[in-house]
Amino acid sequence: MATLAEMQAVLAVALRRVSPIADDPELSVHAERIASGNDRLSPVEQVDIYREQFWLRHVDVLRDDFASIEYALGDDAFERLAHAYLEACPSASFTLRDLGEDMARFLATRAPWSTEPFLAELAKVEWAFVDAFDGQNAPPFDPASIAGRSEDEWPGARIVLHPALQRLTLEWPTHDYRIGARKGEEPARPERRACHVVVYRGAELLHCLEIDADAAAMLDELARGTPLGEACERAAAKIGAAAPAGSADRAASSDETSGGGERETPLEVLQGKLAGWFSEWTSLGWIRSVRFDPEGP
Amino acid sequence: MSFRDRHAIPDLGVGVGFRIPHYPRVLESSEPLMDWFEVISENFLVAGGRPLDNLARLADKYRVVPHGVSLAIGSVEPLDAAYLAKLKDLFARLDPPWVSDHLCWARAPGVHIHDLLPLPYTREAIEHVVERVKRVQGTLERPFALENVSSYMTYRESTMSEWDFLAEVAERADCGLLLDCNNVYVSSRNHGFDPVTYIDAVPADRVVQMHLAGHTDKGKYVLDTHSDHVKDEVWDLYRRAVARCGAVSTLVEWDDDIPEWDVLSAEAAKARTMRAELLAAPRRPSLVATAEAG
Ligand SMILES: [Fe+2]
Repeated sequence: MATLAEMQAVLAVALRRVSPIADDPELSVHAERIASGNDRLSPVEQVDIYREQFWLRHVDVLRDDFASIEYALGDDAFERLAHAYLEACPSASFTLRDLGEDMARFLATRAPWSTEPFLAELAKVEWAFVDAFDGQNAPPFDPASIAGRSEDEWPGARIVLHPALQRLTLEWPTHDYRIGARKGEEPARPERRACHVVVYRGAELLHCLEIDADAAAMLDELARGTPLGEACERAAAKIGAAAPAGSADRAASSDETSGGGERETPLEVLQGKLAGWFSEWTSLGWIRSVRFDPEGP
Repeated sequence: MSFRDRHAIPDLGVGVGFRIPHYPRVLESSEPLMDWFEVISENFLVAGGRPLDNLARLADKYRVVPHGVSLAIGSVEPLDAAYLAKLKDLFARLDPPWVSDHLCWARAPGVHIHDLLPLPYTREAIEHVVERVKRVQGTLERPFALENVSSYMTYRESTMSEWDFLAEVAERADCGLLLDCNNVYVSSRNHGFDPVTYIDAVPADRVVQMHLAGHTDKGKYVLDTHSDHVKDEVWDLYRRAVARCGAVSTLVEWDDDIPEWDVLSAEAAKARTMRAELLAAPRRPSLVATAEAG
């Protein structure tokens, strides 16, 4: 006599088989011990209905969440990926919303897909949209909350970003490729080009915006909860390490205030951009509040 | 006193599921378009964003009853406490008159199958489910109803009919029932039983809600697809169920190949008319007696 636990254990294995249960004689015997069948369906065929539904449902969710990867690979190859992924990363969550959360890591580490890092990056971008879609809410920025603050309060201020905002550093313009693929524009694989993007939720839709390296370094510091003054210094150090002050790149990106003899330091460049960023990022809804309290984040 | 009376379960009339293609129409209409709405609980157990905004807007205008798909009441795996806590939080925001999930299993060690898998109809399964329903009710602290599922397989271990199993679980766990007339029909076709026998055996006073839906004939079996109009045979079962159970909130499920709002709305209107005619007709003696006792 099979117990409830034994029956569920056997069925959980059978339903997650990619190939029909009848292809596996040993599993078929187990299924026959559990299901009784009827005059139209054998016990194995009864269980196989659920197995088929399992794959249809799960692959469909992955197709929706990773549509650009399906476009990049083609239907059949995507289905093979989905099968391998689901075997390696079964859903333990109560919701299929979480089903693809390991896809980027899976693609980055599992051959043959790991030989094409573009795919893992696509998965990272796709998943950023999933997280931006239903990530936490935050009240809109209130300009009155910063009125009357003295200049020496700002270096200690912490800028609070929208909790659902996703910041990505990419090796390809994968975000453009994703949109093209989803719109049916049949984009070609892009040339490698480092880019920094923000995926965020607008009032109605999800958006993706490319930003420059300075803005990205600054946003990343703010996202960590670093106070504004220190964030500027750290971001400047990062930018300085990537392109030291006085290099052609850096000089070209600095504005007219560098017209004198001395080139601006990365810190000065960054501080010069700060006011513009602040107003842009509040209007985009990225900045939700400013905390002037001295305690930690 | 009946389960419905003890828990003051209201008759909300006829509703439909809240589905994405209809969001603009439903949320932007200044007129009420439906008696009530059902939402899939799991779709709204998220941190924030549009799903929660839409739900809040819906709940501003309509009675919203959440219906879960992931509880896995019959799984041997322990109940998911984090999931129950999230449900409880959602229910606190909606304050529904009852909540529901399915009489099925879905979780196994390390994996959620995300299906409504039938249980073997055994003493062991009854003991297991009754114990878990009691714990779920204790946690959620709301009237809780179990829905009968469509099934495609039968177990060698089963020692009783599905309707006897369902009735005993409901009586012993003291829970409500969500009677899905289409699921009764689908399973009756798949397993060769008389669906009328099933409807007649359901503890009528425990039925807090009914489901109607379309299905698809796959030749060797019938699949519960929620992708079409309610079939005539299912309307017949619904009539019988209403005659037995009385004024019970009814919901039309249409989740795949979702039609224009007007088509769905007409399907709900059909149920509304049918229900009103039956409820206006003289009650059968047993129902009158129940009503007086309540
Ligand atoms: Fe249902």
